[in-house]
Amino acid sequence: MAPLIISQFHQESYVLKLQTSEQNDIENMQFRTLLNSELLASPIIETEYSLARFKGQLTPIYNCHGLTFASRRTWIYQSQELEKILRDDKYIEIKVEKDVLPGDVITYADETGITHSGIVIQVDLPKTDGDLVSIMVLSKWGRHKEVIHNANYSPYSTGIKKYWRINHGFRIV
Amino acid sequence: MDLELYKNQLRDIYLVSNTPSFLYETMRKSNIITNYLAKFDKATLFHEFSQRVEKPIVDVADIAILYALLIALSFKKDEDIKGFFKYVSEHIKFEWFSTIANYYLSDKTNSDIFTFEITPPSKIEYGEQQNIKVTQS
Repeated sequence: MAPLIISQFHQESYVLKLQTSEQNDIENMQFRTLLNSELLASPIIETEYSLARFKGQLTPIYNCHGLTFASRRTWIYQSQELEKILRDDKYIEIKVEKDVLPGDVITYADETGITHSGIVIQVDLPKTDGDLVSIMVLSKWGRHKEVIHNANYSPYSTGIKKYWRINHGFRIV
Repeated sequence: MDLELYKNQLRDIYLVSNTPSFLYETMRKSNIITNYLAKFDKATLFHEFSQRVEKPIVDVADIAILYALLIALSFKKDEDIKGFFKYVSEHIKFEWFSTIANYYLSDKTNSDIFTFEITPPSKIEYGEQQNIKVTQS
């Protein structure tokens, strides 16, 4: 269902049945409404982050964590829910940047918890000793658009970055 | 109080916030809150909030400004502020207003006593304009 565009203060939200692989419920909220002005606005954020690539249209349906962990279907916005997902889905931390691969997950955290997440889409290893690993990420910035950006180039990049890879392992029967 | 000057900046903080805690912390650190809104006393901030919340919201920046006023009030540690945040926590269920009010209420450095008087509307539901009458005791 496409977002309903309205001109008055109104909220239409839904909770999806969403669970971790351990069948624990994940608190979430899907929003379907946005204000006309959101479509008409030309956010200065796109000018401020001119090296990032803003993809498609904005949508209130999902946030970054919904993109990363819930197939672009909803908002996950509580840090404890994200920690539950990382634990239940058996993500392991990739501690060395050069070991990160496309498809891995990046999280950003500050003193309040996890503030942002995304999916790694490209890793460029340094060509010389002085260079840094360059990691490109696909994420979504709040109610705004999906964004392709360097891991160190976003409103959340002052936070602590961690990289994760899902590893369900084997269950031998 | 002229928040029109800052509305684009506040709107962008709101737009890119993935979590209520990010919105709360980012706004608390922004110059608009720490320099501009900090200059106003609690009565002025209450008045501005109550005036704005009564108007139909037609611009996403209007929502961002309401969050900014609420978060600016979170810096005020007077005892009567707590009543206001308790009211917001219990009655404004739109998006993250209640969650943010709870951040203030769960902060142990704030007093447990309040004397703020609020005249609530009879009912608030999604999809209805939310009217809050706020008076300072």
